[in-house]
Amino acid sequence: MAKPNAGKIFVENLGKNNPVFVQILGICSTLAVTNVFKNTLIMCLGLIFTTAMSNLAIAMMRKHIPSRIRMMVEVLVIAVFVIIIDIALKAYAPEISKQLGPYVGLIITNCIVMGRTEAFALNNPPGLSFVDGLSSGMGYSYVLLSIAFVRELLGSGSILGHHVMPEWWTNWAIMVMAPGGFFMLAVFIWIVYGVFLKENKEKKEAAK
Amino acid sequence: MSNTDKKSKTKERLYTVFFMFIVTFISISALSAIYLTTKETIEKNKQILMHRAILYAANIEAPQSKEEMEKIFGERIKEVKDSGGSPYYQVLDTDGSLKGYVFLTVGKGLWGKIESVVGVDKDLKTITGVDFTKQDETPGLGARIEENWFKEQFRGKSGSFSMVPEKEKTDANQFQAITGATITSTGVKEMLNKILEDIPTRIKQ
Repeated sequence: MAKPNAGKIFVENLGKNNPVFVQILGICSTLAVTNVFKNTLIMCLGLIFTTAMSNLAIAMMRKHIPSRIRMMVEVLVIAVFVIIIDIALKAYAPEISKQLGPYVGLIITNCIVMGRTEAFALNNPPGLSFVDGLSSGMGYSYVLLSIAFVRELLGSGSILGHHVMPEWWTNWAIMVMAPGGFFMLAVFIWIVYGVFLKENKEKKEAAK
Repeated sequence: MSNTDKKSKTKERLYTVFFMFIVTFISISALSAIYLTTKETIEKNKQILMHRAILYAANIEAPQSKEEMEKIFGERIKEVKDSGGSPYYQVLDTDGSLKGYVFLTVGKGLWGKIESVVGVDKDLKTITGVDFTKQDETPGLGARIEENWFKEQFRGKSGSFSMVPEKEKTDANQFQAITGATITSTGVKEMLNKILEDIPTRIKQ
């Protein structure tokens, strides 16, 4: 790996190294939570917090973790942060916690969190790892939020719970169900590769 | 030589166990501390949600502020136990006379239990309101049972219920099911029919 640089990591995790549409990680939650925008938003904030904090914690311990049990330690650290989020929501935002139900706990199994600690935090200093976790979480978030926006609009005719579609509009029930998530994710990846990443590829080929 | 090898290996293994122990210990202590400091708030939140749901089912308007809501709850709702020992609630009118009842019940959803609160009039048949306190249904589909249009439609109706498609006209014993959430809607229907059947026996004692 070339010498890591915070700004570069930040931008790459949002764009050409995006955890969702380039690394294809965290797909399960992409499908599950993106049918209602508000739930997605809370899920994303939770994930950003978890990736950033667990990356930071693992990076600080990285020189002391015996490699044989590194995954156990990673999962433990991740679980701690997720439970903190869950308790905090229950105590200070009970309405949201009630709506999200089991989703918060599912952050533990999100591959992005484990993927980043395993691939990045184990080999890099805490500051950089924190930036990496933060930007990975944000890269994940904006993809999910754009998918959720379209799915809620077409599937429920609303934006953030406010009805916006005209009377004659018929909700697309499939957008609310899991297949709608598959379609939207595929369309998103297709657009991104077709429009943005294509230029990169052409540039690279021209450079050769 | 092989002896020292063995020794360092044992040392390494011990270190591994020790490390895991320490990390786990620190994590659990931190979580316990957070849990204990927020435990009361969480319990209180749960209670407030439950009280609000009961008032909603009794068709009593609950003010936004917690304190005022609790005050009204104290004045208008009285907890009693049936012969089996499970609690239900008497709804009192502003002059203290008995107005109706509120029962807690559980229905079967698609993913799990639907915990609900059902209020009935003094005639034990007419529903004054239905609210859901816990459900794990699909967001955007089954979870829409928490939307107001769905809950409000039960007021003033009586069983035994049957369903019509969303946005269609309903009779006094019908309600609009949620499109794409047939299992959840059926679960709500069965739960309501069951509790309406049970209510007379539970009150007579």
